[in-house]
Amino acid sequence: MAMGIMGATGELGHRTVEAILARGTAAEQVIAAVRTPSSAADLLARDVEVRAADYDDPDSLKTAFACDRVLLIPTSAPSSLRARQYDNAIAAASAAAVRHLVHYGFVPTMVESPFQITPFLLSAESALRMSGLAWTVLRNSVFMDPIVDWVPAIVKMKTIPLPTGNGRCAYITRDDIARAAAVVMTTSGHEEKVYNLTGPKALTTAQLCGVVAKVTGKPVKPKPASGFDYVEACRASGVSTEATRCACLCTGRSARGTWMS
Amino acid sequence: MYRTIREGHLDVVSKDLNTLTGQSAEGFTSYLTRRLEEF
Repeated sequence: MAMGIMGATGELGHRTVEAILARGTAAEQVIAAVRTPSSAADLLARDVEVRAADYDDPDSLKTAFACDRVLLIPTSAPSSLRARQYDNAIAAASAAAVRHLVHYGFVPTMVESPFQITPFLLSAESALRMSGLAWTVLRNSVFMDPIVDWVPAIVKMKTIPLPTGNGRCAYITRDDIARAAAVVMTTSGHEEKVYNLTGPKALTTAQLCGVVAKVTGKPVKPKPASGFDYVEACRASGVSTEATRCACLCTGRSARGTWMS
Repeated sequence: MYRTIREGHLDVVSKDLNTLTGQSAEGFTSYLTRRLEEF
């Protein structure tokens, strides 16, 4: 069964391809659908087929989606643009006779959630359900990886300036998400299902500080932080824009105990 | 679900990952320890 992975050179997409291959899937069955095929040389070298695919180019999607199952990974575009990109992708999948669409979503996909990208998340899941195609949704929690990437700076700051208040979150690694997606992509029985993928325990930022202090042996203590504190700390330590954006979207929620929502 | 998230009980819903993969999700302590040598 041929399967396409959108964004296969991205942080999550590449890990997902790796996880699919690790399950023993023949590389010839895996299609890396990417905006810039030259960036997927490592996958091509492993016999993964690389196809040009751009959410903003419907014709490219129709060609790239000539397969049985497709994993859609949202871009980082604004919500309204993301929704249009998904409309393009779903229309292309229908035209290409894709049998099953799998979508990487996010846990707070509910109308009452104030989270900034929730309108897109709701739109995407509704569009999938109305597509007439088989679908599966993987609602991910917040990535753990960027926090660990930040540890050298955290040690210097002696705190984690996440503006979470007492809110808790079950952070999850991208590798765990990819492993779960690989199962969905390579086995049957997941149609019309929503899976919530989270880490094993919901932690406050104070608890994160405690773990970092214990593991590194350095003094890292909790300290109240505002969204402004967080942005400034990110700027000073050169943290990825992804991590900054993620937490900034949540800023202001923590005061109401709604870090994740 | 919303209420569950607000109350910080996301560990309850992590069972989906275990169901799919047959393994528990990696925790923060383990992940940080594993990656510490990178720094």
